[in-house]
Amino acid sequence: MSSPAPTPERVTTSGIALLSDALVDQAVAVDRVDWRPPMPGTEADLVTVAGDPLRRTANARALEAVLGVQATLVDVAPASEVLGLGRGEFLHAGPPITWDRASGPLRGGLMAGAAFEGLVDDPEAAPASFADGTFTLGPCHHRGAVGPMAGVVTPSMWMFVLEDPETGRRTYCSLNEGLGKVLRYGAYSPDVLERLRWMADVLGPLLRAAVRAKAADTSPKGGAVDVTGILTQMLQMGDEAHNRNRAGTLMLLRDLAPYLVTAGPDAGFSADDVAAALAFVGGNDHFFLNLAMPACKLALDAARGIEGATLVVAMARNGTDFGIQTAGTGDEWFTGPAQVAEGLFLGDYGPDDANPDIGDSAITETAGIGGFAMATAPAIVRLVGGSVPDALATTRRMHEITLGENPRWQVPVLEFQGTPTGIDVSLVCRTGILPQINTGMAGKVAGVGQVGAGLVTPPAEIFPAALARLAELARARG
Amino acid sequence: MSHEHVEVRAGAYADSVALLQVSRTVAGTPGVEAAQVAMATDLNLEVLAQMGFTLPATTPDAMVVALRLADADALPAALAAVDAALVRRRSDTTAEVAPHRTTRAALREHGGDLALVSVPGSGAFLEAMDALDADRDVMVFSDNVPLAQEVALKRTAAERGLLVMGPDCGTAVVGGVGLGFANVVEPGPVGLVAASGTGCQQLLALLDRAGVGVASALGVGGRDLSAEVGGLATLEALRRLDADPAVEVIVLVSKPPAPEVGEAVERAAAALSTPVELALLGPGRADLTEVAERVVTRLGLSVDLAPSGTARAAVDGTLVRGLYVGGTLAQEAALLLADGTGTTVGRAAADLAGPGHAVVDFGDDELTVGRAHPMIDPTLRDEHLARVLADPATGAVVLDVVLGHGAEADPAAGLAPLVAGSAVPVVVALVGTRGDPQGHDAQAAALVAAGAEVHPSNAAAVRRALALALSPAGGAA
Amino acid sequence: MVPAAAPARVRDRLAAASGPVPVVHRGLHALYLRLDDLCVGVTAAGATSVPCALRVASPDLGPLAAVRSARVADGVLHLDDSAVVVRRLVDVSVPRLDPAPLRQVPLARGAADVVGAVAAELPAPALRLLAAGDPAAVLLLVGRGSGLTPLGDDVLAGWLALHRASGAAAPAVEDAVVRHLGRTTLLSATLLDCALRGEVLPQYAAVVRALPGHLAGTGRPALQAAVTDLVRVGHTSGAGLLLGLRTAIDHLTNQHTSPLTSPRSLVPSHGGHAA
Repeated sequence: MSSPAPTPERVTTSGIALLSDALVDQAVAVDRVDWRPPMPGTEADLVTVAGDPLRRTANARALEAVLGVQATLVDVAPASEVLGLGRGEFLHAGPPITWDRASGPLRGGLMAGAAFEGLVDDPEAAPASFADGTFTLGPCHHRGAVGPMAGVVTPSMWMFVLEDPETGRRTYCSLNEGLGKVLRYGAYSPDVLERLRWMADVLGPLLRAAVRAKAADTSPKGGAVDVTGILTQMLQMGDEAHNRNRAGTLMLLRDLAPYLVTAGPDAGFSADDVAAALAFVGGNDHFFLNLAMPACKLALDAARGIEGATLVVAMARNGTDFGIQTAGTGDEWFTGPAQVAEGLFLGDYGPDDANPDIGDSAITETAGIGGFAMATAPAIVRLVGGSVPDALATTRRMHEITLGENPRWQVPVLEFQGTPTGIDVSLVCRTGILPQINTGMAGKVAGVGQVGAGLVTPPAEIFPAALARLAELARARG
Repeated sequence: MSHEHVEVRAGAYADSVALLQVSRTVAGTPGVEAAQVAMATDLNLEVLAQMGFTLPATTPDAMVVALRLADADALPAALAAVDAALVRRRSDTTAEVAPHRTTRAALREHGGDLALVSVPGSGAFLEAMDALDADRDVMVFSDNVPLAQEVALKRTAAERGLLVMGPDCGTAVVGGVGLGFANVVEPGPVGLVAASGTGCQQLLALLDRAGVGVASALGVGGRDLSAEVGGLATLEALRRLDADPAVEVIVLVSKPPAPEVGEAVERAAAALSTPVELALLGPGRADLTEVAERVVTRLGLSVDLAPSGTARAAVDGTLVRGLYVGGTLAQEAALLLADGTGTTVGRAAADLAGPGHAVVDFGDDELTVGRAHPMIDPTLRDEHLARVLADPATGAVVLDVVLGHGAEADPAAGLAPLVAGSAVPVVVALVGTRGDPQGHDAQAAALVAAGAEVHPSNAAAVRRALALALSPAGGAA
Repeated sequence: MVPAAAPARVRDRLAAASGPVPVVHRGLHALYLRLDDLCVGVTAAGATSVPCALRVASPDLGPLAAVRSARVADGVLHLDDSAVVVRRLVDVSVPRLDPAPLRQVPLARGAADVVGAVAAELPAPALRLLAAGDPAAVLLLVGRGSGLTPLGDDVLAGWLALHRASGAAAPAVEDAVVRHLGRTTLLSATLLDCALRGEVLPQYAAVVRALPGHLAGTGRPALQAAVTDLVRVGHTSGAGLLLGLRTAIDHLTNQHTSPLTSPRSLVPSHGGHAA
């Protein structure tokens, strides 16, 4: 306080309009809050959590931890090496799930994975081994990894390895296969498997050679690829790093291309192989998504385990359930039914063909980009027939439920305001505003692949559930 | 027989999302069975093939427009629809920015100096905590906030050196800005700490009448000096006013505090460098007017308590009936009447038709369920007033008119016809300052013209009403 | 109706006036009117809150900046068809200051540079004379500099207001200022008149309010923040006021001054000088 009872020239008001009017009538600047009752049944828990003496500093620490992380690409390696994934073990997107509850696209992806690993000759033969437990399932998130859409990871798949140089913490993500008929959308046709084999035999090892060569290069253009830095730039180039990754992909290509050309032959690959790899990456606008996702996870994992913090550290979907985890509730998932996205469909597909929401890619929204950065990529909002003002309004709305802004990731059209970062379970329950997620849509029948793209929100009830647990823990601390 | 049209537009480009939307728009055009407008990438060509279109020779940099039509006649309209959809531009690019949904978000963007919370009591804690989290003082106008929440807010505020005014704080003036129901005051040497809204307003009005300005009047809420809350806001408010070089005397107005809290507050007051006038209200204690006179005298001035106008002559009725909008003013009236008559004074609305003296606070929680406070909407009091004025048992009516921010724009306009149409003497306590938006003198004049006697002091008005009720009909007023 | 906040004196002057008032200066954020010998401003949130203005809450004046006519009727200022009504009274008085423990205000480098640059624009003897309380300084400073509030006037205003805050008499300088008010712009003369009465900008008041904490050794950061805010006012106005305040402290700490018996007794009535 600069002064004992300074004249409030600007007052924030909530509630009775007449009292706000009375201030306006005194030539006081008034910021009116559009207050509405919180989500039903959350009143008591909201008060408990707001009154938790740990909360303010815990959330400040959590946000600071998230914003302090820098993600660098340090290696590319098979999942068997870096995740310790054994034969017959499968990772998938979202919270834990069993085969009997798995959706079409997740089943399709797992079947493709089983065939890719040579566990079955024909993908159609795989379901029995999943059903009887011969093949085991686990979430990517439980191994420090994230996977888009079905998120299926098998031991022979190659993974990006991201590292925070401060702490040495790492996260992982598979390589992006492109759009259309691909494993992550649940397709398992022979061309899908053939592409996966080429990625394991050629693309992965080539990228490893290039990534390692760049990391080892001590010249100014060398050093590990700065994924966080590319995200900073692409967000000012029309990408929101979830449904639009075009600029990011090209910047990655720019960083890696010289090393692919020089290190490729040393690793035993032909010029044709290098050309094919360059063409594949350059021709796949979503290639960078699989770096944006683990970069976001790396940042959010820094906030895990902070007692009293109400910040969401993961939002993930397995095609059946939508789950969240928070900084203050350990590894517990709060889940509800995944929703079907609203959006545009490829070709003749329609809403009836779409599977409910799937994938770990909502980690981007959790970290404040994707749907949260819609204002920087207004093209995306047209997926639901929205306008540019809608895109700006979406990002502004997300600021209502987040703890802070990311000073690195800025939105030019909003006067370079930082992206809304750190979803607060309490704020979601207070406002009823649900996180806005940009997503692709998988066909609900295994094997179909992508049917469209659109916008989706989590099931509302998982936020009150997480809040109730946070309140319970706060009460237990007394 | 359906008609297929596939054309390649070299050099044309649009974003894939835009094209998805164009396709959907065109597909909805009459006569169009299927439409796909897309860049000719391999993936899109595959989609076109699946849809049964004949694939053209093209490169990925070209745009393909593929239409299946009911018949060839529909083609011009369909192509027009494609072109229209491709160039479609929104005109409403300046949509209004939605207001913030929490105090936290509003403070983060706009950096207000203070928060005023008047949401329903169950939601007030969260908004107030938002303000404290942003290191801002807060006034909580809301009532029905649980005591435990008030304690939690005030403890948090105390740790951070912040001030929570309320809950259930109706009036504050902070550095000249009126919050809630507050009067327009001149800057000056007095600092008030008040646990009572209309009590605070009575003091502001009388000080203004004496030409004494007020630096700040900090409300603390009616429960602040309870044992549970421990006077946390009072102590902080005292510190604030002591640190203000403009404040030469501090006045603390409250009901008698819990004993241990009273001691702590008195100790704190004694330690300040600014003198503190303690004004505790209750039976056998000084009324608000006496408190105001003490403060004014201390500053070497005096307050003119003379009324305007003269009430009508006494009537046959002998009962004083008080109809109030201000809680503390009503309480003061009831105390003075009980004191002056030695009888019990009824406080319920039904007592206005009863056999004894009665004083009703129409701002009481029970009488405001589902309706606005009578300072804003006087309908209920007006109804009762009409009945009381028509009742032969009524000897005199005393009522308050409270001016200032938040109060109705012209209270005299509603009261004057009622007063003018009755023979019963009516005494009004007009609580307001010269600067109040309703126009103090005009309100007084309108009430006097209607036949009321208008006092600046509530205590004086009550005593006058009692004297009128007790004097014989036809006697000197 | 446009609600405004104003000092009681501005309200009272409006109450005493009637008829058309000429607009002497207009900008997006502030409008200045000639009310007899007084310059009265209408200032938006984005303008400097001079102590002789009606303050409105909006960031800028909007359509009011383009008014064609101004007049006062029944104590209310009308700008074309908009009534600007005083609905809140603001305290523009400089906070009281105990002169006994007074010490010089330390300046961080940024503020020191600005104040130094401002001092270099003024005739060298002026500040020395002012620090000695010599009324000869006044003629060297009044109206010196460009703009609506010449720099020399800002320095004088800063000097006068601190004397007012500490209750120290400076009759020779004050008399000289009153005599020479006609040598500067109407706005600047009004602001000098305000300073003579101890009426100041909020940023100036904040520095004075932060002084006791600094003197007690507890409030240095608060003082530095206040000083930074003051220096940001106007082009050089804030720096000029700060320079005047520092020169006043030099004056008060270097020589004995007698306290005023009545703080306002030496101030002529507002009607007393031509502008």
